[in-house]
Amino acid sequence: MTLTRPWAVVAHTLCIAACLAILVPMLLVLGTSFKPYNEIFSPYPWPQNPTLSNYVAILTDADFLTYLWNSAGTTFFRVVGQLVFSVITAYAFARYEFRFREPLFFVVLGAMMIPPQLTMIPNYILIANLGWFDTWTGIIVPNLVMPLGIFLLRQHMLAFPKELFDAAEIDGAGSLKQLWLVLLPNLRPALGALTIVIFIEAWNEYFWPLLISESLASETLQIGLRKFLNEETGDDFGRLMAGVVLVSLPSLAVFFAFQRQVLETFVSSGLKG
Amino acid sequence: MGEVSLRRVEKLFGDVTAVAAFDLDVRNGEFLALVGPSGCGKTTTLRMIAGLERVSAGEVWIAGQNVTGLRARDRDIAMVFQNYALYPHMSVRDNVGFALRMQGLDRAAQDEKIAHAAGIMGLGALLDRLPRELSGGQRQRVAVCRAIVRDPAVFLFDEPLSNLDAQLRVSARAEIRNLQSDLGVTTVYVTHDQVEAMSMADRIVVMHEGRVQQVADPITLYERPANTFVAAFIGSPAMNLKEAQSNGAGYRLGAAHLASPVPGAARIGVRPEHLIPGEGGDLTVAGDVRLVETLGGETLVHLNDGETVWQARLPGHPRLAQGERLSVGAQAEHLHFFDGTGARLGGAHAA
Repeated sequence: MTLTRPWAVVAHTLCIAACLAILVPMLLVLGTSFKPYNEIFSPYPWPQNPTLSNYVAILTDADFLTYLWNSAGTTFFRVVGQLVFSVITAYAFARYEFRFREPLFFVVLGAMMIPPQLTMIPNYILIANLGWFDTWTGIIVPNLVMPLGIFLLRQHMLAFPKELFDAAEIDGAGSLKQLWLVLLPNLRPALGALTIVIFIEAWNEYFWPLLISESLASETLQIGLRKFLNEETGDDFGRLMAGVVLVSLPSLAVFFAFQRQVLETFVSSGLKG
Repeated sequence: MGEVSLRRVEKLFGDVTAVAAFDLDVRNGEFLALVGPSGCGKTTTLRMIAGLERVSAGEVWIAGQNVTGLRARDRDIAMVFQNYALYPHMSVRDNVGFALRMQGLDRAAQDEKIAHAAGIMGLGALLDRLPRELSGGQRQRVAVCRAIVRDPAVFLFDEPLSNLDAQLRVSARAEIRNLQSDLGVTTVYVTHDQVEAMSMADRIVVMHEGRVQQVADPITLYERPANTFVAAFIGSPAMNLKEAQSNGAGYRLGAAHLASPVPGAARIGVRPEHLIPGEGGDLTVAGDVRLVETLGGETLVHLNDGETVWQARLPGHPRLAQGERLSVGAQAEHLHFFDGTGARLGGAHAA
């Protein structure tokens, strides 16, 4: 569909406005992170005397490095765990006939529709009773399985040509080898997209760690950044913004790394044998 | 070696019978074709032999072993699929070698077998390409190559030529047939194309609605079809099959008359090439030329006798104009008689 000229102008204006609405705050964050302390509230968005002092301060802050370690570790296990569980669960739903398959899948879909705020309290009580309060385990385990991932991968697997499974079966590959050697290499675009979503969700998670973390043992970056907002000593916006910039970098990196793969695989693929 | 036996094999999908009480013995080294229209159960039968589909009843035997309970990978078979089913992310070499890899063969032994099979199929130069970089014909050869590399007891082919253009199909037909007789491997070949079945197979099984209609060599199938379904399905253009109305001395077929020695016929058939110009035959059809199709070395004439349309295949290029009056006739030995249930009756050529 091509738009007529006036509509094209309207559409582009809307797109540019939406971009600005997203970009301007990000640029403000970036600008502020390079401002020295005395310029923080200056009317200019950009620093007059740019400095790296905020970054140096934050990167030499031992607490920040602990938060980074906690974030990286819990995110790693959440991403790996969710990918593994999504793949094997979706594979079972897509590939095998078993009793109650449809009702069970319906349950998975249903779980997607329950807002996390509803399960927060029961989960909290459960985690506390298990003795996982303020631990990595407490952050990771309740987030190991993700209905969206199961749903997304199942749809992709259903679209995968059945003859390839048949061919692999005849060639002597068992179920797991069919999954690992035949199916997964061809699901790279879907896995790439899913990895982006899971990573960003896990990395940016705020609410759950806020509930169950209370010390450096498990506090993540998103929680840790709050300590720069301090009623007693005053808000340190320079360091906060530098922290925000640093915290955003991994998400951007993952996005660009996997997005390229997603695009490449889409462009060059075609499952037609 | 590679005999295949099906003993009262049945397949039900819910209440629907896809394959009913199928008995068949494929001899070692034989090329057997399963042929029939879409939905006749031929692919289901092949998949039951392969072990990709469970039988609802009956037994499957391969090479003297009851394999009914075995998985596909334990049956020592190789299969070529209609869409080739090449692994899209693997090179030709890896596609061909995948089964060897699954067998746990070491790399050197794999390479040797792959090179040998690729040599037979003329794929040596393409081993490092991906499937998407190959033409349809090349993909088909890779699929066959993947089957032969394993040296299986039985080859199974599921309409492997239906995605090729007409010219390529003819050459691939000959190639598969030659390869099969060179290797001497028992082969079950599914196709909906009766020309393919007739030109390739030692024996043909004609199926319809899940049931075997006839099992015979191509010539018997053509000359003595067991029933009206086989008579109509085998042969191109199709046999003229007409309702026969008994009139004491013989039968009326359309507007034509036949003094017949075979009582009790409900339908009578004659192949288009057995209708030859002239009035001397036991059956004479006179009508107006309705359509003339030039086939190359011969001409197909559609003849309207006032009640029904007959097809006659005449040699060469007779000069016939639309609407022209023409008489053609057939000898009694070329007529096929079928009873009310469609089954073949005795008579010319029938024992």
